[in-house]
Amino acid sequence: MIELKNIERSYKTGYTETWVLRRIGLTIKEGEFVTVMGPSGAGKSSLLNVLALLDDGWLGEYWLGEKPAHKLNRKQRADLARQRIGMVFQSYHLLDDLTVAENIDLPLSYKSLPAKDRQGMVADILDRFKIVAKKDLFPSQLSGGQQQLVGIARAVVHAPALLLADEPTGNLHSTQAREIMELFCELNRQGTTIVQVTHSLENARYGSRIVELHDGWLTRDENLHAHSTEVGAK
Amino acid sequence: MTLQDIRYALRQLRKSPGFTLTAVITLALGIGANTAIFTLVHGILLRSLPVADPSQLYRIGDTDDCCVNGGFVGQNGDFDIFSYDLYLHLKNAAPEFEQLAAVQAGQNTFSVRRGEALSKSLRSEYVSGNFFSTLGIGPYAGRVLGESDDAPAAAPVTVLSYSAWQHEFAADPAIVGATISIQARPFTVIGIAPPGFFGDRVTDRPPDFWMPLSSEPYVNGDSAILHHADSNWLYPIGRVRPGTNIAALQTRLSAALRQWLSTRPMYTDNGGSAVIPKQHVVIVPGGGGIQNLQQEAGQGLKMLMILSTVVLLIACANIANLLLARGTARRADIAVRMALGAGRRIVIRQIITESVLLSCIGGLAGLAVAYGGSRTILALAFPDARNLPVDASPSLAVLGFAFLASLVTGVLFGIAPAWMASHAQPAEALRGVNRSTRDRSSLPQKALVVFQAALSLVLLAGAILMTKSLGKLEHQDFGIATTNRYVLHFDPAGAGYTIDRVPALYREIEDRFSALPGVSSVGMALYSPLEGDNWGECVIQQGYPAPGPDSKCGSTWDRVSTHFLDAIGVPIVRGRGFTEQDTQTAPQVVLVNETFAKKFFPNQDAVGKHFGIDETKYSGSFEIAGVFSTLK
Repeated sequence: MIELKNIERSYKTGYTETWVLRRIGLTIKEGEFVTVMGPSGAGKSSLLNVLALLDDGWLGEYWLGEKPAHKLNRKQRADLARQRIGMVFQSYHLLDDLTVAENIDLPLSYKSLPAKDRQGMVADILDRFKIVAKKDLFPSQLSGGQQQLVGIARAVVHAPALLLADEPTGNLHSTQAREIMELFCELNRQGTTIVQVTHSLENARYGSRIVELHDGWLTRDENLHAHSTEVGAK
Repeated sequence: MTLQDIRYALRQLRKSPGFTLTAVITLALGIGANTAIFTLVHGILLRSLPVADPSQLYRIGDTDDCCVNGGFVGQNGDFDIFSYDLYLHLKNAAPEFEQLAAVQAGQNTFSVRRGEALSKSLRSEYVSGNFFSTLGIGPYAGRVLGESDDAPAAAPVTVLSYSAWQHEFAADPAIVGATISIQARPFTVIGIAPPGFFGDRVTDRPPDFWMPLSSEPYVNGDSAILHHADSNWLYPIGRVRPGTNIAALQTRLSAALRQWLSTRPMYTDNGGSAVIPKQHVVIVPGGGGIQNLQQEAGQGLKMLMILSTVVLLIACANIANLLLARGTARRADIAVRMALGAGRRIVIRQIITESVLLSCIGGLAGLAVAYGGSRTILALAFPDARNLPVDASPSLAVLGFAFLASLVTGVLFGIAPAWMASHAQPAEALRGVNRSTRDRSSLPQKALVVFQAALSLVLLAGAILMTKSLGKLEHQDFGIATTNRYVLHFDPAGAGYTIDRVPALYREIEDRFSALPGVSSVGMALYSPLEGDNWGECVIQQGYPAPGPDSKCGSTWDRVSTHFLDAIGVPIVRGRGFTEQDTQTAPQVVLVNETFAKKFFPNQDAVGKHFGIDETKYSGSFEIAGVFSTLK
């Protein structure tokens, strides 16, 4: 599904160059549920940006399925992301001026789908996530958990093969967090590959694999259903 | 642009009422000012006469010489005003014109009376008998003028404008066929022109009635100019046959003009033959009518259009800046949208939709500003206008302009924010927008502020210079005293006075006004100062050879009463003023100003010198009795 080879990312600030990802090599198979962990500033979000094809400034090779993302231009990467990737954010990032239904419809509206098909897909997901009654509400009228539920619904409405989540339960209390993680498990069982970034070991245990970053280096890659592997770094 | 974009844009605007209101007011003023000026440009510069197929109309002559001229016209040989004989000569020489009409260059204000009613001052125009048929205008009631009405023996007739019929004759249908008095002479009203028809030109006082050229001697008596072959007072305008080569026609008519001029001593004498070869006519499209007002107001309107465009550009920069400032708050939205798959095109479309929607709302409000603005400008520019054929109400073209201006404005001020938004880094959405340290909008914002300041400075400098010029114009020294001076206009001819009774009338007016308490001085003149009208002649000094066609011998003149200069506070600096002894039977004396004395009698004492007009043999006609201080 995903193959990263020697991925590197740095930011220039004046005359200094700060490296946030160093020679990352990672393979994620289809159907895996991977958790990226590490302390703040370790490069977790930067890695997620690379995986989401939202960042253009990295070096190395990135294969998404059969597609060499490293050889695509910005527009082609955006097209690829639109077709195959869904995003869930820590702060939900629902658009305040759109209703629940319109928020969920947003990624579909960028795919040139007929309006009727889109309406059907939105209705299905509302039903599946049991939020039909909320469809005409605005985000400010929802609780944090409900907003994240809508955020996930929006991320998966176009049935992406890869779901990326950046601290999806970071702003939720534990009961809501559990519900969201169980929803992720359900999606994963249905075939969606998931990569989440989290600080919570409890949430990480919902997944099948944990990779850990430190100062931009991949330092640990543990399969929770097998013995762990210490990745040779430095 | 989709309905969803519009719905989202509306929500965005509703969410920030303060910003929306500020932007709409700014845009309403900017677009409104432009639309107001365009209303005038469209109503004055771009409009066609309300006649049949105006594109077929052409005028012989392209400038605005007026109203009765003699001799060569202008300095470059560009003839634009013609005598009746010359008009007929050109008409015969140009069969390409299906019809060629002649219209009076300068219109008159005549006293018109119906029965025993009080007389009214109405605007008149002499036109050839084929005037209405040339323009393709039929009657609203009765009939319009025809060729048979424009004949020496024809009965005196007139056609009223619809507006005059409505306002001056209370829309009385019995007026058709009735006799009215024009300058104390009976005329039969044969018809009423259709509503909306205002004649052959856009002017602040369109004719209230039209009379055939042949009636000019009937009205003016001894001073008639119809059969003065060298008195130029007509503009020819006609309808050409389809497929006519205008350039070839112009060449042939220019040749015809030169041929005619070479038969007239007025043009051939005193070296005139040498300049005849450069005399020519220019044929211009006449669908917009005689363009005198357009030529007078055109430059001013174009300048106003430029200034209002600059104001709109400043408004655009201002709102673009406001949008950029708001863009910081919207960066999260844009980043999320891009993270969810929105391409640059979609982001730009959304921002432009918002700005165009905003500018269209501003444009709608601007229509109200435009209506008020154009009414105000018209009232200021034409304070004495009656039946001005320029409407301040927005026409379809004006609505189209306002919509186009709104569209362009919206795109203009939306470009910078859209460009900034399309370059947003969606990765910021994942990182959390608050962690972004870069302020990408600061550079365009600074550039916009500089742009705004530069344009404002240009406008401000222009406004200061304009104010100074207006102040100088207002307080300039005209060389006359204007305080407590009042001007009254009399029309003895309109009241039926014949020339022999006029001196006694003037004396009586002067005496009775002088006897009024509080009146210290009364003077009479053919034209009052600052009226912008008087006569001009070529001056021939006694003892000098006749001036050639290119000599600068022109001087304006006015006929005044004995105490006129006293009444307007102009001192005699040499010689004497007029006295009661300067009568019709006494030697002809004149007073000249200092500029005249210096020009025609340099380094000499002008007092006692003689000059004349028309021909050398008359050069001793007038004796200079005194020199007065130059007035404007």
